[in-house]
Amino acid sequence: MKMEKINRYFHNIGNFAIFARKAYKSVFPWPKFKNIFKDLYEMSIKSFPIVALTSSFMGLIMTYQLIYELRKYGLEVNVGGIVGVAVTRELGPVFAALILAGRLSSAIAAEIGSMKISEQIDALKLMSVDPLNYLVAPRLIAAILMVPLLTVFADAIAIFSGFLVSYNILDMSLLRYIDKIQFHVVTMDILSGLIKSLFFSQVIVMVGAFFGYTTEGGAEGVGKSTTNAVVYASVLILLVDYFLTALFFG
Amino acid sequence: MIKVENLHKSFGKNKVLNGIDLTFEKGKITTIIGQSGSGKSVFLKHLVGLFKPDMGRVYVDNQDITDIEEEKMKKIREKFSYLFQGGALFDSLNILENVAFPVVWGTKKNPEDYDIKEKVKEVLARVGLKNIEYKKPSELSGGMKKRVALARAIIKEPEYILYDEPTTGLDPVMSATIDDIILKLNRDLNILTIVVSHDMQSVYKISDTICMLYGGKIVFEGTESQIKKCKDKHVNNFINRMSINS
Repeated sequence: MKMEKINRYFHNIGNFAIFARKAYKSVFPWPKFKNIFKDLYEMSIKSFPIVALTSSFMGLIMTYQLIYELRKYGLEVNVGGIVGVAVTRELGPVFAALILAGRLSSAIAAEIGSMKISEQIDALKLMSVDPLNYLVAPRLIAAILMVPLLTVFADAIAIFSGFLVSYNILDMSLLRYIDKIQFHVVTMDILSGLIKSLFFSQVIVMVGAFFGYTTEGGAEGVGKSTTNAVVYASVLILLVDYFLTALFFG
Repeated sequence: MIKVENLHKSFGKNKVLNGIDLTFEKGKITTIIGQSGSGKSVFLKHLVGLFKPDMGRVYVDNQDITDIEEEKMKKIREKFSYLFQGGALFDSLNILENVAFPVVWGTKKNPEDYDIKEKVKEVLARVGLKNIEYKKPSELSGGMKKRVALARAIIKEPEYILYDEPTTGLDPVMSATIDDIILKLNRDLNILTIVVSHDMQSVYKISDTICMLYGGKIVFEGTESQIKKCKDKHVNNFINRMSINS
């Protein structure tokens, strides 16, 4: 039984790799712009409020914690720099990606899963339409544009939230806060965060699409796929983050 | 012509199709009957390459499609229309976009183009629907969805139409209307029609040939008068609505 489970696990990894290869191949011919814009809208306007809200709380809480610790050593004046490095390198991209995994991977898995069980995907095939080109390719393209952009917003909001706490507790001026950011944050910090977000964008869409596409067994199956999509996308984001961090800073 | 030779299909340990040989000819309506879960829809999906058989061959116009590449299969599928059991309308599109989909996809045409819109209205009228172009599938009843799906299936005037339970869930008047549409299309376009159905009234009305699937095999193939005289217990039980315990 255990062996069977392990076999199935590796079988699924193999299936995911094959699915990803097919999905990237399906990007050509280029999907209809109307479909890409629809997904851009879904990923931008509709995702922005939740990303903004969570990033602001992340910035507020982290800055409180940092000031509390730094005060012990009389280093609280550097809080802006530390917030800047932590947010641009790590917390901004990862936090935004995890929130988007919860919002987008689940939505993609649920939509494609429902289409699968109601034979809409078969209907597409019968009309000689490549379902991956119609359903997955526009999302891959939209995500590669939108997730890094949302990450930049998340970074900016978290850093600004950090300033609000610094101003409130330390009476720190905006100029001083920015000065510390400029001193500590280097181009590589921002660049590494953005490169990570590019990879995360693909994980978010691909995992959601894979679980949607492999849905079986009615409404219960859609529920399972949706849960799996969020769980596996989140785990994969952290795994990819680890390897990219080791690559950039190891 | 569609020809099936020694078709076998299993899902895990469940043997669904167990050696089916059938030939479908142009201009004829063949109906496949059988109990729920007997593999009728599975059989139908083999004819359009949605399922690959474990054993056996499927030929469309003398071309073997059993192991054909997906790109070549796309070309063959252009000859087909398929009415799915639940309609399979695209939830995110309105009725106009759904019905126009087969004729606008892959072209520069738009569902809002005058000629496309008129064509959509015409096929919707043929299935007894009007003024629903801008509704979403979720706003329609089950029967209406099925008729919209039928409109989508016939908009491209295909060479082969496969209907998966076209009258299930419809009221008697609408069932009769759908029967008339199936007959008229077959007569007007001289196409090959295969219908999977439980509805014996409809089966008798439209069929040139009736085939019964039982235990993964075709246990009967013939006309209405022949099936009524058939001595096979499973066929008798089915056509006379007798309990499985009788």
